[in-house]
Amino acid sequence: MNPKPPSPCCPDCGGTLPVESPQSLCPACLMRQALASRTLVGLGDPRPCEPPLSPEELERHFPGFDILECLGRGGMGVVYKARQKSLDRIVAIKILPPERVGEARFSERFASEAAMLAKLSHPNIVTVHDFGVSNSQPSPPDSQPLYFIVMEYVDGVNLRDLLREGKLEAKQALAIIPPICDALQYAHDKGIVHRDIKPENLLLDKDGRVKIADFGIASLMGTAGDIAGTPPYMAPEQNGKTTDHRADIYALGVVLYEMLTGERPDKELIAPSRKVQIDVRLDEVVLRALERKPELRFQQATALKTSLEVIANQDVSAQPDPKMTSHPVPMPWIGYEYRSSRTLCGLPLLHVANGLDPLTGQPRQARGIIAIGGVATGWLAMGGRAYGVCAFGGIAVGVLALGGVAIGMVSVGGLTLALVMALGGMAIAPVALGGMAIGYLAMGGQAIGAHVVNGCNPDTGWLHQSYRAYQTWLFGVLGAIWLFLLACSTCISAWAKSRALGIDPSHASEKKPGRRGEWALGLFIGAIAGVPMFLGFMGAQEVMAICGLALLFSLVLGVMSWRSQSGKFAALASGLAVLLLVVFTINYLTPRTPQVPYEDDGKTTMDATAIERVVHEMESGLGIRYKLLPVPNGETIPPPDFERVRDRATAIARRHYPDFKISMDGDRFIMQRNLREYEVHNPSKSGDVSAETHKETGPAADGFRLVLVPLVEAPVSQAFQADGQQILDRPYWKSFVDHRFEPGKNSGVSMFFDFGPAVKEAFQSEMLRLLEK
Amino acid sequence: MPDSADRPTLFLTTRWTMVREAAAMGDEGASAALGDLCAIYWMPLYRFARRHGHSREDAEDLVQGFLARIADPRRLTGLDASKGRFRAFLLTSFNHWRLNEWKRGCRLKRGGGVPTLTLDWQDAEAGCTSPPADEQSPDKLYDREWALALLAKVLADLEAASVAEGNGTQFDQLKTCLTADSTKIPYPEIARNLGTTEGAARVAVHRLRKRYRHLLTAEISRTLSNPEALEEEMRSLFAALST
Repeated sequence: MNPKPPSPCCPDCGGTLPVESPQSLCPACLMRQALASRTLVGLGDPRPCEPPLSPEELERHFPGFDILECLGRGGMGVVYKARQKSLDRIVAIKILPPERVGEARFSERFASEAAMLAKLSHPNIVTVHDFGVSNSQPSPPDSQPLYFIVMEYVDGVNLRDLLREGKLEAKQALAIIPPICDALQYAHDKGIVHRDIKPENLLLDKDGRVKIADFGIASLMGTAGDIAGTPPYMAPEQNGKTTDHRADIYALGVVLYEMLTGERPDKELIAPSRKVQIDVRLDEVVLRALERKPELRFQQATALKTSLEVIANQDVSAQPDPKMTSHPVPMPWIGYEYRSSRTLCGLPLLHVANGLDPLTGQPRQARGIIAIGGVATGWLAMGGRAYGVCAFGGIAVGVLALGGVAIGMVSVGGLTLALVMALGGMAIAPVALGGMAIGYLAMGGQAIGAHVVNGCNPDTGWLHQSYRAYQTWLFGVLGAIWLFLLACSTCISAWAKSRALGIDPSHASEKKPGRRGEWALGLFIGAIAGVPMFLGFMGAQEVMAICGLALLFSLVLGVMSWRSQSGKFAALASGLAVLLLVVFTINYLTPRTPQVPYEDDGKTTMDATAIERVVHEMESGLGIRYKLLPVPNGETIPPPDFERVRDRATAIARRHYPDFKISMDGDRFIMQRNLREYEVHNPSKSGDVSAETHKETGPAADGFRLVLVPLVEAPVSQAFQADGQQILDRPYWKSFVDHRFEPGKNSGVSMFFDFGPAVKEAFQSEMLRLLEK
Repeated sequence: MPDSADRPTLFLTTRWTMVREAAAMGDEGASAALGDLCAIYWMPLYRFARRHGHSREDAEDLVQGFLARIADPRRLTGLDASKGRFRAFLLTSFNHWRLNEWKRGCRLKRGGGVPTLTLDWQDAEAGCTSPPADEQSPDKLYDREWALALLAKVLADLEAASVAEGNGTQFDQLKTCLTADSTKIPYPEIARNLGTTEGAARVAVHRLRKRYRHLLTAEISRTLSNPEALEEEMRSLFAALST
């Protein structure tokens, strides 16, 4: 037996000193003191801890309980396991730390909060049986009242114990979190925030049920503005500012992260799937729960639960597609959403939504007075798919639709379908205008309809005339509107993104490569889309130069931001376009070699073979590339086989130049228009049709003679420039010059004659007369 | 164990797993350090064996033989299960050893060239017979005794260091402060006893407490392969002590 006299008591904790206590010091207190210096009770304020009461000592305070053992101690108090004698049940008694309860008005707060906690009745929340203040019966001197909470005893482990073994399977994590979400939602609905969600407080009993412990203790223990909680699990806003239930969602996010990866999230958040092999969709959930801004997190615990369950149900095995497991960019598909607080008619004034909704996995939809996004619905809708009064986008449906595919009352775009008027590459509408126009009233390259508007139709000639006169303006204005809307939506989106994600300038600079890629892409699209617009009021060369410059710039930007997808795409596409442009330019600048050597007899310009060739080329549809040259008055060109030439030429002329008066003057073949008379004379082989061959017929001659000459290596510039500019400037001749004609550059002229109805009538009668002969 | 304090320990800050490996490779200093470690913690093992019903002689032989072979990695298993804690490792492998010995039914022949330990069997015997021992499982008691041995070693080191600095009496005066809350330390009284000012007493207490914590954490770290488990180990030792 122990030979020593009755063991002395420890002066600090009051417990008996064990026989072999080192240096006659209480070993428990020794260890506690060493441990106490390492425990964080309050942030930056390591308050001294009272020694825990021994079970025996505690029994003096709780006569109705057998105190069985001390289960543990945390910043929020000491927990004992006890048997409630009256009900013979095992309970846990939590003694709140005395150094904290000394605070002013604690007892009032304790009473009100604890009453609320006792009302929490949820299978996943540790039930509070009782609470109160206790004083030991034989009250020792200067003893403080003990604030205690009697709780359900959970026989099991806490999540921290599980996590000590390392990370959990995704499947396990997906089973643990949803009940917690349920419980949190239940408490949040009652206005109670846990404020200290962490693995230590998530208990798993032997049946695998999950229960949240210590509900509301953190808010009970912390006065308003006091920092309470466990630092790694505290939401950023918990650092002094007011917190709400979303702080719990953040903490749960940290727990989920820790379960999946076995580590707590670093300052720089790395998506879990980049650390471990898990379904990337879990990244979205985790990262959204861990958003620094409460507004961006899941707003409700149930939302978090739902998104986890969606994943769990879709992919029970949680075996990720290997291609899906790691994504170079942390969360590009999450996108962002901005909704203005101001509303009109129940719709937000501005709603910008991009990317996928993590809840449903579906693209987010923007709905607002002004809606911008992948799918946008609103009065003014801009986006990939836009539905609205004014819709603008890839696929636009609306009263006024503007876009790649535009469907509406009035639609403008690539493929347009309209109830009233359509304007576009392919336009189908009562009034259709475009490359391929189908409608009641149709006007365009290929027009199909009851009333086709073109120069030949005397009924609609005036319309055509005015269209011709205003088309430059029309396309210019449409292009400007398009650019304006594009710029608007881009700017608003960027602004909304910065508002939604709270990107500060330093953060934005990190994202620069991605933005550069977008710029490159935008520039590329702009360059391509701008070509037809600019062609309306600019020379082809200038347009090509501008377009080439823009493409080059886009190429450089794209290469610089090669890492981003948009950059890659822009670089490849604009590289290809630049290449094509270069090839085209080289081809364009290379002088054409004559296909048929031209025999110059010094007098005639049109011999039999040449005519033959002309005819052949015309008939085989190769195009009409012949010169129109002024000739001195009175000179004649005797064709070798005039009869034949005349017949063929007449046939050709009738087909191609219905506006011309074709007549014979001696042995000359004349096509006349009431302007001036020209005739080709001696285009020199050297290529220079000099000014001496040009002579106006004078005021007396109101005719115009066209001589068809096969294409030769001879610029017509000089010949034209004397008078050609004037010719071109006359309204009659506006449609004379097609885009292939360039004074000083082209060696050929394509002619599409298009004259007013009066001329046409005159010509027709002249033709009739001629034929009757 | 005051004698362990004046023995040179080369591996004071090295993890026990490394010490053991080094000793297995034939490093003399490492063998000594490992012996030193065992000298601190043999008593819990001995009592554990006694509680499992071994006679005094059997238990002595078992512990001696076990500690003699501890550096041999082929003989002892249980490193994985212990998660790097020397405490758990000793117990697990000692259990294996005990059962193997029992199966063989013969006593171990001591190996040559292993440092013999000065073991205080009488002192060790004292704790085994104390009445509350019967109520708790041997494993829990083992943890508790381990913690006690650890604290004894730390305090001995602390005292030795104080004595070496000529502050032996001061240590005796101040050691009670190691268990007290910093708010409850009666500084004026201490100052009076030591014949110094209250400020000086405060400093002395603070230094002693700091030194104690340092020695304790260093000692515990020695028994862990992973320094991050320190907090956890301290908690479990505290739990073992407070039950």
